[in-house]
Amino acid sequence: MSKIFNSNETFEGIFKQYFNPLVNFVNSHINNWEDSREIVQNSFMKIWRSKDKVEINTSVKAYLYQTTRNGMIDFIRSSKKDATIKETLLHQSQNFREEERLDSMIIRDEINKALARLKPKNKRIFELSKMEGLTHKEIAAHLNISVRSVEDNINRATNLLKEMLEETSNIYG
Amino acid sequence: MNSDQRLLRELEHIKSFKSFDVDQEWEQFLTIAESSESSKNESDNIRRLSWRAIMAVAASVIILVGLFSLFRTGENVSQPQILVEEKVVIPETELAAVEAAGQNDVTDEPPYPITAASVTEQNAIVSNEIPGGLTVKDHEQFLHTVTKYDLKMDDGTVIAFEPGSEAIVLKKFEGAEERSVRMISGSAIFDVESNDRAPFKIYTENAGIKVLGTVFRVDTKMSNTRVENIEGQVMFYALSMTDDYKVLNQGDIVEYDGKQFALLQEGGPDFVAKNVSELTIKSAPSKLNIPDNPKLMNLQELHERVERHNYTMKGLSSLLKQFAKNKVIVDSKEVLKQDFTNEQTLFIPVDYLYSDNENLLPLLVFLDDVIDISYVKSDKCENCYQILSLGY
Repeated sequence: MSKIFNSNETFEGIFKQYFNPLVNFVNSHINNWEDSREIVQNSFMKIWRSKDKVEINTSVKAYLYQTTRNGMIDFIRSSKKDATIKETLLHQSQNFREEERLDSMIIRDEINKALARLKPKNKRIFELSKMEGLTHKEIAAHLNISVRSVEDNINRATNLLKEMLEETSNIYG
Repeated sequence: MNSDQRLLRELEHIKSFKSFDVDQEWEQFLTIAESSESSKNESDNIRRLSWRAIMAVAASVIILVGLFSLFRTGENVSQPQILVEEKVVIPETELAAVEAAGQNDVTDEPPYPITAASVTEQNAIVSNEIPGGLTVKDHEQFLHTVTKYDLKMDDGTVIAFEPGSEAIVLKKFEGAEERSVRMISGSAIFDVESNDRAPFKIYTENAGIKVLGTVFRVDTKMSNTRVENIEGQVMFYALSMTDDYKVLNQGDIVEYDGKQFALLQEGGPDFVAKNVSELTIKSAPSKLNIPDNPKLMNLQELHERVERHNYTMKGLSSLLKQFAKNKVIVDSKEVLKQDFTNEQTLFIPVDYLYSDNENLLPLLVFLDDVIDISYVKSDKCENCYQILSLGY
């Protein structure tokens, strides 16, 4: 068991590390960014208020996930949504594999951060290839560069992201 | 899944990922936290003051009550407050007749059916408050059974209560959105009439049971809930916000003590479909009406979302879409709904029934509310699920 939340510096680090994945996780259920932000802010506030007492016997991630999910469930229950939609949302939020959805959000957050570190041209080529689905030839014609250059850029970006992904899985388990 | 596959999978969704400025969010958080901290300190001070005032008032009340009891004469003021068990008085003539027959606790048709109405008539219940703080609402009835008693509901469901059971049951199941029973104590066998539109749920102190099949027994004692599944399937879940639930197959007996589930008896293996390539459509035609059914509109939306990914899910989702349209394709040949018999079996390639697509589980959960579907986690792959039955 650890009292990980009793240092302001650690708490700030955890907040900044998990805020975006948690907001995206909540939004994947309730489909409202503003409410999702508020739910995550409130969950952190709940933890903040009891940060001197909280003892975690699981991982920080699992603890944050549980607190945020509970906040989300309370929100769904108290919302004015149709009873059927409410039940569906509650049902979905109680699945066995829900925590894995948060893992995906963490990875997506890390990908975004890694993409932001790429040089603009490199990033653009990678996005055109992996996100827009353009072929190497199409990208080369579009940007007026050689196909070889496109391939190099994509390989560089892919390797960086893969390194990041391995690092992330080591950190988060 | 290796890191390349994982990366590709997450990249597909990266566009929908939204990043907020975490520094700004943190600043905002700190501002709220600090202001709430200062208001908390103020309220703590107020609370401390109020606490003293409450203590003073409480002390005064105690003194007054003490003085009052000293002045009371001719009454047994020291009589302890005992909650007398509320019993129903059975007319002596009927009781004698039953006892003579030697079956006062085993009759199928009790000589004196114990219903909320009869209990109230006997003045056993003086208010709607049930011990334990539960309240009986207008559309509910409270039952306390002294003999075996079969409660026959208007939708054909029969709940066979054991003697000494207590439960709160809806007065009418017909027309209810959810057919619910709150088991307070005792034991009952539920023979539930199938109704896709109104799920049947039983709540105990800390657990819930969702009926996926037909006949099962529920025993409640203090915090323990035991479910014996006699026929079909039931979902047995904790009411707390854990992800804990178990699906019971025929013959399974599972107990929940408020913390964990224990499998006391494992049922026969016959119930689980041996060949998953055989899907049985239980009845036809579909009761679903696409334009008027908001669930289905959502289903179509969900289906489109799944299909965009074009994974192995396609086969299953396409099949399910066809279900929604009241037709099914078998070996490229369209089978119209009027061609269905009650027990028609479809043969579908097994590959379609397993998927590691991350959208599979949400789809299955969603479909669970729309059609008759049962599925279990499969060990074939990380996110694989096996469809046991489909119907509507």
